[in-house]
Amino acid sequence: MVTTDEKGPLTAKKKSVIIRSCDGDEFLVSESAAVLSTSLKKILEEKEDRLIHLSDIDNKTLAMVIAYLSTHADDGLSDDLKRSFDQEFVSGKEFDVLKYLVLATDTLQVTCLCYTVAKKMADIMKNKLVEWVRREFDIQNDYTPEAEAEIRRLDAWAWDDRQLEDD
Amino acid sequence: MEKTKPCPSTKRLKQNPPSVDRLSRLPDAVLCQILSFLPTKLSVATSILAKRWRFLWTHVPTLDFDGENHNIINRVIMLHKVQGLTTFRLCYMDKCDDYEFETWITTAIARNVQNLDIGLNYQFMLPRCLFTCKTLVNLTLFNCVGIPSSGAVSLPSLKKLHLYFVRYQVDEAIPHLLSGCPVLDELIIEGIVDKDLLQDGVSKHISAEMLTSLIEADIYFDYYKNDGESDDYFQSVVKFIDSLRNVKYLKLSSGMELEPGGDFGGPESIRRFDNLTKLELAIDWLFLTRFLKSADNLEVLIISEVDGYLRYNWMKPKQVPTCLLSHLRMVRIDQFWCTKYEFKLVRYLLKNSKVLKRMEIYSPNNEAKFDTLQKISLFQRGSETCELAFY
Repeated sequence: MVTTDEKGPLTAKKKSVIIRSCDGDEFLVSESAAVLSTSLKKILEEKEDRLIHLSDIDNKTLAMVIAYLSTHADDGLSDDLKRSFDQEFVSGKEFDVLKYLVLATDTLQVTCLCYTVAKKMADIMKNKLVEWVRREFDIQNDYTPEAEAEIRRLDAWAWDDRQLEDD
Repeated sequence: MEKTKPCPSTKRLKQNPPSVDRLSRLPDAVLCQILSFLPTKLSVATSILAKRWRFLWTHVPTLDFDGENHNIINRVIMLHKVQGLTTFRLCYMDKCDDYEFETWITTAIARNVQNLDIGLNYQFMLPRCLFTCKTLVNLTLFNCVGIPSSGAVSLPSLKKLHLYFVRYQVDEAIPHLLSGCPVLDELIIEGIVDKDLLQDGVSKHISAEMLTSLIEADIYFDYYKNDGESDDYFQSVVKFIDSLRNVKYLKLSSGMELEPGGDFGGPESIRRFDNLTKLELAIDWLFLTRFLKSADNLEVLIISEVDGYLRYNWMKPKQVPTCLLSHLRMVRIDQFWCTKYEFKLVRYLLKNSKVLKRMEIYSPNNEAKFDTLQKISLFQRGSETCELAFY
């Protein structure tokens, strides 16, 4: 499946890497895009093999990260265009999708994307209720009612308006 | 109101089986990264979520206070554990003891703060150690006092310096501060450069050497009109602008009115702006003529709104400026009122700009829009590929 850019030796052919998601699908990525991820860069420096298997990242998420890496590796795009790509990249995405993304960018060490996604998640979290955050982050409240009451008493100022209130 | 759905995790489990376990435990570092974009108040509020979150906020690399009282600030700073503080923002509207304020800033510096943003309602004295902070990259001060005019100033990493309504005792303070900022590339000073300072202080004390690292400058000059003094004032403004000779992006704003044919010191003494690629002017159009002559590599020109009479000073250069022949590719005119001066300018730019790609004109004058567009679209164009956008 990876034969599309085999050309004659005179063509300045870009080196490619194959990245396999945990679902088993493979993605062909230019090396210049792959090395924007610090983790992939390290792997490529250490091994000859051009196939990288990522056991933690699913298809959907990996496809998004690769779209980001390829855009940012494109020298033909101005910084302004890349910035607006970043904005569109996270806009409208559900919190759930962003969670997988932020985790993948952390694993792959794509600092800029991790930053952008984390910021978007923070923006969504503002003005949300405690229960919403617990649900979205799969958090089990393991406080005793007494312990929770004490925290609320100690830092009462943190809940003195509508942000992150209980419902 | 949001309510918990029954068993939401079952659905997720089916969709993405491999990482659901990991997801329920996003690493602390990732959570802290997310929390770092929240105001500290919200970050602290997450301590109610579960035991794991109780003190997570104390590891978030930013502190962002907006209106909290001094007791809260003291508590948070004492509990906070991060040694590499990326951002410390303090928007503080109350009074407190000077030593408290000093302690907050000193603590931030001891924690290697990179971005410091202080806005106050009452003026507190800035601690001296602020001006020898090695880690500081961005510094924004609003309504502070205490910029030293002597003694050690060393901000070796400082790139952006924004001063809004910052007061100091003597004129030498700002030049002294700038002399300790070797890699500064953005300077905003607002609300302090009064006439006396500009005449006697800045132009005399801020020598060109001090501002040559600046690559981005946004300057607003206040407007004074005292008979007999306006020319001196104008000369000091020109001198100051000349000291910015390495800027790449320059924005100049002022309601200051110049004498027609105002004296820039003769063509020989006009300072060249060879690095300037983007220029935004909201100032007497006399400056426009002047910059077209001296900025050979100008690519983007934005002409923002100024009072009507400040447009009368547009004079077409005797020779077609180099930038029009080889570099200028984009012109935007923000407030086109359809006066003859404006038409003259547009006609000149369209005719003589040989590589212009786009001209954007925004006109608030709705009634005359169509006629104006028709008129302009008939102007001769020096660049065949130039497109005209009219809004």
